[in-house]
Amino acid sequence: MPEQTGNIMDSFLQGWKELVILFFLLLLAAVVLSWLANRRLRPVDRGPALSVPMFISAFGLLMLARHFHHDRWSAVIIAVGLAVAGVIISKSGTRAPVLAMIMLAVLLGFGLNLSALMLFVVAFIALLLSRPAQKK
Amino acid sequence: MPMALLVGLGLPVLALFGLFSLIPYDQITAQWPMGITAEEVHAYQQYFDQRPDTMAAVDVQRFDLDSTGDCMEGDGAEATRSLNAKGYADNVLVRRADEAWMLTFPDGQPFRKQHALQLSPASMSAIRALYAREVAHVYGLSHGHAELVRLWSCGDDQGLFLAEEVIEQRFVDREGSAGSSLVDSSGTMEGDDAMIAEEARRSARSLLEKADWSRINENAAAVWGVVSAAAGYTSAERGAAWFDPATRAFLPALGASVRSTATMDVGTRALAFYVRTPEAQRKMGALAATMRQDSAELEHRLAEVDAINASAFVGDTRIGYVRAQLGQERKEFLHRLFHPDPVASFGLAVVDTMKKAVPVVELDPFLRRYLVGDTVRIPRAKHVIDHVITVPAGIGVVLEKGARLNMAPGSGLVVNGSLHMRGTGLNPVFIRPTDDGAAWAGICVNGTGSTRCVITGLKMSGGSMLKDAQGDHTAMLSFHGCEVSISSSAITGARGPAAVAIERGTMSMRECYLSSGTEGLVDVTFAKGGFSKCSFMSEGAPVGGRGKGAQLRFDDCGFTGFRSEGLSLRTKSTAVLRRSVFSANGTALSAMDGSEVLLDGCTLSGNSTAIDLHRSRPGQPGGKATVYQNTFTTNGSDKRVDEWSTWTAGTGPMPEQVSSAAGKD
Repeated sequence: MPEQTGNIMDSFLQGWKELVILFFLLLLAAVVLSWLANRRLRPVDRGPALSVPMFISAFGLLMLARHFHHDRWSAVIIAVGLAVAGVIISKSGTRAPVLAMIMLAVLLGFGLNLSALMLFVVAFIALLLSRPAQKK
Repeated sequence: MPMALLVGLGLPVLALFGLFSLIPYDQITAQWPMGITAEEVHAYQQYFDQRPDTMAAVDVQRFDLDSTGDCMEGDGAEATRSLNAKGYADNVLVRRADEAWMLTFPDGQPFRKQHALQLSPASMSAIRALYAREVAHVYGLSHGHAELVRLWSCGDDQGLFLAEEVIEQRFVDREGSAGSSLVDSSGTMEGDDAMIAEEARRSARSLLEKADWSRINENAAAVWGVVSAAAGYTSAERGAAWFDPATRAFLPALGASVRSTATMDVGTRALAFYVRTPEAQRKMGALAATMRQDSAELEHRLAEVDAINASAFVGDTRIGYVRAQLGQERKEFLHRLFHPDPVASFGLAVVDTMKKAVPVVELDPFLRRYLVGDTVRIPRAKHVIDHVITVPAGIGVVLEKGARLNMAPGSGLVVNGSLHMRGTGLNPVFIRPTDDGAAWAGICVNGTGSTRCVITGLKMSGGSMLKDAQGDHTAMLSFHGCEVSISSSAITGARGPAAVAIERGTMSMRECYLSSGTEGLVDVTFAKGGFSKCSFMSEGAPVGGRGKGAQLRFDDCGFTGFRSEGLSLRTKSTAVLRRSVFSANGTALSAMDGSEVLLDGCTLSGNSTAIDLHRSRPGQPGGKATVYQNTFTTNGSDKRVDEWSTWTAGTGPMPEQVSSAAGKD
């Protein structure tokens, strides 16, 4: 049993340099998108510069997606991602772009870097052009 | 927000259309930054590339598998189905293994000489398989055929597949020399095959344990290594090596190999080991340097492969994009070919290349007495040998005229160098048993391939055979890897499998008399033999001559009274007989398993069967006979030819070039 655990840990940590790069990429994307979401809001309405639960969930999903390379597991991971995003949004009522970040993390985890880039561009433009929402 | 989303989506989509429709294909197919993979780019290209297409006509070989019952959807399914392809129509055995399909063709109905095919789903990288075979072809490495085909099963298009010929025994029978075999480690073979398999295992041990590189064709292995490294193959996937008994070496081949168990066959294990050695990797480096010099030629050939196959990859995508992708594949393949990294591809084996000091063998007192320089000269006298004497390598043996060796039961002589017997008509060399009722062992010579053995005026009898660490010698007088000449000798009364035998090498026998024995008189195995004016008399021996993978010629010879066979040929042997006489034998001449016999001016009389052509077991070819001006009289049956064999009646005398062209002179 400990050997199996060791193997799983090894597979998670395989390519750790790449993982570090992805960590910082995701962090940068989270900061940029959060800034865009908070833009033009009154200071009192603004959320944090980086939503820690959102970022940790996103990075966790990224690691999970990197580990499993099977269609069925991919679908499960995406479903988990959406559920996590829904939970975070409903519980915290945050303005942070949770859904976009979760999707970005999953795409990066699957190695679909061009798709991740496109998603970031779409989110960037959409957030840039959107008017601030009214705080309930 | 909806407007922002619309713009947010629209702008990138427009950018993607522009990017994939305007950028030249060779840039699209090149390496992208930020770890963007070619697969992802390919998916985007399919959707966003909107430039006008110049589609080439799609012309891919089509395989139609029809079925009246099961369409074999599941893994491991096996059934006989009807195949239609390129004018071929017959039932073939079909087996599914994961995504792959295995087709096995009937023995008598191969598909364009191929007996088994493996069909794997083909992506763009399948082109590497075709590149690999092209390079293998240029550098003389045996390889199975490969092509792209479109597979249809039960009327459904299964997609594009790479059809690779499987390297199995029937491929080896076609490509290899006589007796070549793929040897597995199970040891289940019988007869001749068992002998070859044992020799193969011995050679593999010698390669693996003693780093004896002569046991593998190093050039072919280097080509296999470089090509496989470029194509990303491992020895388990696309490696096979058959054993050639004539050279006692493994000969690698490139192609799909299918194994029923996880264990590799002996040859593949030898190949897998060899490509991991520093010696092989040095050779691969040298070969890559040669390939770099031929780069223009190779690039041209691979570009032709691309041109022929590009249309096969055109599905929903554009031909220009396909060509650019193939160009990229070609570039990468050539880069790996010219700059191989065998350590990364195959690993590195630790080989003990330190030659162990040869243990000093004390010379037998008998030899020491007659050692002159590097030759043991046994003079004219009576010598009693009562044990097995081994002559070390580098020392030759000469029996002078009048020398008489009296051999005690079980005694023998093992010579690891040249052997000369210089008897004359008046003063022959005698080798006789001390006890007529008990056999002595034998005299055997282990040569290096060109070790000379010249024997004249020998009178020898009463020996059997001698077991030796370097391979069993199965005759009273036996040679391995020697150039032997025997003349004016009488060899009789052998009590082992044969009186005289040669394995690998050449034997010339002139004016000799061989008779009586418990089994055969002469065995020629994977060697050439020329016999002139020799008499083979049965006097109890059931078989006269036996050839396995041999090239034989008999001029003015006689075979008399053998109750089984006068001359028996098997394992792709060939024999040319001129002016020879076969009389009162059970079967005068028997040729089987791809053996061929040519007769001219021979007399076959009083035999139960004159010429018998057949195959020994299913899967083997039959025999072949070409008969010119011969005399057949009072035979029970002049010929017996099974359905696998061919009998040809030549017209007039045998043309000289017939025998000469086949190298049988």
